[in-house]
Amino acid sequence: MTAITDETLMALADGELKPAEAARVREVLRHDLQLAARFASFAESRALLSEESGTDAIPEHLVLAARRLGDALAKADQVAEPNVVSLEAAATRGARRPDRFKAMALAASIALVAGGVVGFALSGLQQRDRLASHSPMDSIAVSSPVSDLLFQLASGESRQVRSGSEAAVTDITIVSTHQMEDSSICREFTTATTGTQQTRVACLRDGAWRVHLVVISSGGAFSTASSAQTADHFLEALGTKEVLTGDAERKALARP
Amino acid sequence: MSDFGNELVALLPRLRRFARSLTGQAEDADDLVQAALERALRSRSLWEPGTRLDAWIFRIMRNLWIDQIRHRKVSGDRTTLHDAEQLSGSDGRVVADSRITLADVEALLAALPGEQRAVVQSVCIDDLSYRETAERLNTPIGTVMSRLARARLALAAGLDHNESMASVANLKNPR
Repeated sequence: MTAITDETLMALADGELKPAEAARVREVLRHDLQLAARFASFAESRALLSEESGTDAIPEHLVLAARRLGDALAKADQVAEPNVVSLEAAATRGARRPDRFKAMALAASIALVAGGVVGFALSGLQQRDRLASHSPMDSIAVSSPVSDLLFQLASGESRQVRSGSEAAVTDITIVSTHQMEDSSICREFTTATTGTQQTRVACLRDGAWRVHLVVISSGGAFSTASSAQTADHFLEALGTKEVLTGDAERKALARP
Repeated sequence: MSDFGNELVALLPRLRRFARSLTGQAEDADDLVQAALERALRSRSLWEPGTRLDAWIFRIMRNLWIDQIRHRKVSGDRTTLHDAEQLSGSDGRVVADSRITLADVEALLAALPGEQRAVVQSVCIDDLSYRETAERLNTPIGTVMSRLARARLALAAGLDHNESMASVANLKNPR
C-alpha cells in the first residue's frame, strides 16, 4: 500500500483519481481524522473558488431547507428580539471584543438559556435564578444526590435521580470533564425529565459542586446539539485547559 | 421569498457538489447538505452579514463531516450524521469562525506566485482537468499537480488564519 500524498488527496477532491484508487483512499479517510481534515481543505478550497453551478435537478427537501434558512436569515437581519440576547451572537461579538465576553461569562455565574433557539433569556427566569444572575459570585448549589453523581460518574455514564418531594425522575448524563486554567474542575452534564432537557456546567470549588450554566432546550434532538455548543462556548470562555478522561478524570474527581 | 432564500437556492448546486466531493456518494451528500442547512438555521446568529454565505455553509458541512469521522472512531462504523450532530464538543465553535469575504479570497489568490495562480485559475475556476491544464500551460502534469497542491494549501492556511483571527479561542487570551 502506498502512502497517501497531498497530491493524491487533492486529486480525490477534484475527481481526478481512478475509481479503484478513489475507493481505496476514501476507505482510509473514513478512519483517519488528520488525513480527512487535510482532504477536506482541498475540497473546500475548490468549492470556494468554483463558479460552476451545474444543472442537476435539486431534491425538493433541499430547496425547502434552503428557503427556511433564507427566511430566518432575512428575519434575523431585521428583527431585534427584546429581552433575549443570543449567546451565540454575544460570543460572536465577543470574538471581536474578547475582553468583554470573557468578563460577561465570568460575571454571569449562572446564565439561563431558554428555547429551541439558544439565547440568554434575561426575562422569564425564576426570581431566585434572576437574583443569582445579578450577583457575580453566586451560582446554584446542587443537591447531594447530584453532587454524589458528579463525583462518581465518568464521562458518558448516566444515572437516574428522584428529585425531592416530587416523584419526577431525572436522567443525568455526564458529557465531559474539564481541567480549567485556574486548576479547578468543571463538568458538563445533561439532565432530562419528561419534556425538558437541560445542559448544565458545574464546577468544583472548595469541595462543593456549584452550577454555573443552565441551558434549557425544548425542541428535540437538534436543539440538544446547539445546547452543547453553548456549553462549549461557556467553558471556553471560562478557560478550559484540557478535557479529562479515564484515569486522569478519576484522579481529578477523587474526594480529598 | 427573501433575497437570502433566493441566494441559498442558487447555492444548492455548489453545496451539493462540495458535499459529493467530501462523501463520494450522492445520497450521503444530500443528507450532509440537509444537515448543514439545518445546523446553519439553528446557528443563524453566527453568520456575519457581508461575509460569504457559501463559505460559512461549506465550513459547517466540513465540520459535520469531520465530526462524523471523529465519532466513528469512538462508536464504530455505524455512526450516522445524526450521531455526529449529537456529539458533544463537536466543532460548533468553528462554525462561528468562518468569516470569509470575497476580498479575502481575492487577496490570497493575488498573493500566490504567478505559476501557482495560473494552475488554480485553470483547474478551480475554469474547471479544466489536470491534463487539460498541463496542455494549456505546456507544463508536465506532475508539475501542475504539485503547484496546485501547494497553492491550495497556502489558500487553506490563509483562510484558516483569517478565521482564527476572529476565533472564540482568542477569548482565552484577551489583550
